[in-house]
Order: sequence, then structure tokens, then C-alpha cells
Amino acid sequence: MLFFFARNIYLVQSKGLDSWMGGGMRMFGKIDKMLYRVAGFEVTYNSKKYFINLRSVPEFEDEDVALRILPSDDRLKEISKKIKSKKWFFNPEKENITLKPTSVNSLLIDNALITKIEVLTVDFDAKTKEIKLKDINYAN
Amino acid sequence: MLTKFLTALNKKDALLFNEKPLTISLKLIIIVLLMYMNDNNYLAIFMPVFLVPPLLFKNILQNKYYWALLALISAIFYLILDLVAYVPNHKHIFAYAIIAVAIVLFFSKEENKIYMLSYQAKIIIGLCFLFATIGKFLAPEFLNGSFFEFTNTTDPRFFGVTSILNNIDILSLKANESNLDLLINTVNPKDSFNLLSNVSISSSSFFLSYWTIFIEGMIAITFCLPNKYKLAQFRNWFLIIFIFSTYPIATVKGFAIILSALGFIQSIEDNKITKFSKFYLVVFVLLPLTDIPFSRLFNLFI
Repeated sequence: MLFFFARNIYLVQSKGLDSWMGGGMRMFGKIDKMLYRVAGFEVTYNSKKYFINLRSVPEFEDEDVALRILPSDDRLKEISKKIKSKKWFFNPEKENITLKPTSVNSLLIDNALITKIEVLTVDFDAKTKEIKLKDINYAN
Repeated sequence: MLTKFLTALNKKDALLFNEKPLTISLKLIIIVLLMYMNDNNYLAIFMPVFLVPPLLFKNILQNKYYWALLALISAIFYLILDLVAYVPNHKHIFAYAIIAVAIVLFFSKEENKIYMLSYQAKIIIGLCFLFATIGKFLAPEFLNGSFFEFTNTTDPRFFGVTSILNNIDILSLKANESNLDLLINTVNPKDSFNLLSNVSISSSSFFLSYWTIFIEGMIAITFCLPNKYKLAQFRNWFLIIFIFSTYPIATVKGFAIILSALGFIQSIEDNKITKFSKFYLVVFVLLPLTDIPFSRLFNLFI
């Protein structure tokens, strides 16, 4: 138990581990937890930036969970490679990017346009009551 | 009816208490695993096949090789692969409890088994709450009350109590929940929203933070202290207060049920079931009732 607690503290500080995870018994402490984290990647297409939230891509469910638990550099790079190895399509009517073509007008995009994979978490400002997302880690 | 139930529990010839405390303890752990060790398709299919036989055959229930195999399976899924998939902390406790049983069955003499298992259950509970308490001091948002302000106003498990105690309508709290859901499903990382809260929630959240540190800290201290210290004699009372003040509002059922099972095991004294053991056993049985939204029902009548 001591090992998992010490590992939890080390990984939270150094690799962005969700403090609720990894057997550290630090549940109900920090607001930041994997359930409130967002993992996704950015595509720059026609001079516009699009963010693809991995929660909306069922084929990447396991990777989404793994990234939200431990968004380490190694894990980000490994999953970035996997994302870039797939074919992604841009739907001009809905202006979104998906893993499968969603209309006859969907266009295959160049994976070199995938510029960044990142993990964010909710940030609560107790004074202003504003809740927004803030970066935990990213890879290009 | 409740009186009859409690009387039946107290009868010496009650079926359950003809069993040795060790047998009941092992059965409780097996029941927990049967209910909650179903994290993926492999476990969901194979674990019932593996877990039902020890409930039926005593030889299997107390077989050390059976528990060694169970310890191996739980260690792989809950201790080794714990950073790959979603493995909440209570699944780690499942693994610790199984490993504790395996160690006891391999290395303890027959007459010492329940004493050793009881000791290990006490240490598991003590360390769990010790780490939880230290963790709260490592979270600035917990110490300034903003963790509970955020949680009480966005997590639906707390909505009933929050609205009753803090004069805020459920619709505002549901709006917070819905906005948070939109935020985590966003396609625009620049999105934000303002939490609907009030001064009363901020104040009560601050109080709740330090109440939690107090009660969890006392459980940690009393369970980690050796029995010779007077404070250690109050350990069950602190755990009972924690159960009563936490489970009706925010039950993490997997955690609650293993805590009840370990509570039962550690409260056995001189190979005998105590009144505390019976309390934990009743909690173990009644836990599914926590799914009833008591505070929301109460809200309907005021």
C-alpha cells in the first residue's frame, strides 16, 4: 500500500497522473480527476483550428481513458502515432472531423495537419465561480 | 420485522453464526468479488464460474492455492494494469484483501488465522484512511473548501442535501451538471461557464472539508494505533460515524461494501463475532438500499 501511495504522489507530480487513481487512496481531494479531463487532438484545416474530443470517437475509447488517467509524454506520443496512422475525414456541412466519412462530401484530410494532441482538465476559480479547461500536457 | 431480524441474528443457533468467523469473513470477500469483480468482459464471464464454488464448498473456500490464484488474478488486473484502464482505489483494496487472505492461509497456524486476518483488515483500513487524509492536505482546493463547493453543486449524488441545506433549487444544480457535461464533451477547449452557487454553499463546503479531515483522520489514527492505546478502543465508533455520515449521501458502493467486509473482519475478537461485527454485517446487507435517493425524496415533501 505504501508503494502505491508513494508512486501516486510521484506520478501526479511528474507525469500528470489523476490523483484519484493508481491506488494512492487520494479520492475526494482534488477537483481534477479523469472523469473531468478532456483528451483530444487539434487539426489545422483551411486555416481554421478544429479540436477533436476523443470522447466522441468510440474507436479510441481505451486510448481516451488511458490518456485521461496518465497523460505522460510517452503515452501522448504513442497515441498520437496511432491517431496519425488512421484516415480522418472533414465534413464541410457540419464542419467537423470524424474517423469515418459522414456525408458524400466528406474529404480525406492530410494527417500532417494534425498539429497537437493534448489533455486538459476542469479548473474552478472559487472567486469568480468560472469553470474552464486548462492544459495538463500535450505533444506535437 | 426489524426486531425479529435482529433477534434472529442474536440467536446462538442462527445459521450464519454456526459458521466460524473465518468462514464468514472469506465468504463476505467472495461475495464482494462476485458482485464487483466484473470490470471487463473476461472478468464478467469467468469470475462467477471461479467465485461461486467456494460459496458452496468449504474445502475450496479455505484452500490456500485457490486464494493464491485469486491473488494473482486480482494483482494482474488491479495492481499491475491499474494505470492502463479505469481501476478505482477500492479495486486496489479488493486485491489487498485477497492477498491478505492468501498470506494468512499460507503462513498462519489454524488457531491464529482469524486473528491475523483481523489484524491485516485493520491495517488496510487504517492505511487507506491515512493516505486519504494526507491526500487532502496535498490538495489546496480541498483545504479552502472549493472542492466541496464544486462537487456539491455539480455531482448529482449531492444535489438533494445541497439544495435542502443551502437554499438553492435543484434546477440550478442540474444546470451546473449539464454545463459541466457539455464542457467535458466540448470541441472548443476555450469554452467556460459560471457555476451557480451561493455564500451558504461556500461556507458549508468549508465546514464539510474539515469535518472530513477530522473523521478520516481519526479513523486513520485509531486503526493504525496498537490496541494498548485507549484511543484505539474507539476505532469502530469513528468508522460507524463515517458510514452514517457518508453512505446515505455519497456512496461509492464498491468502496462501501469492501469497507463493511473489512470492518466485520477486524471487529472479530477472540474468534467471536462482536456487536460491531453484526453492525458491519447489517451495513453489508443493506448497502443496495443506498440507491434510494433519500434526500431527493425528502425534498418532495417539504
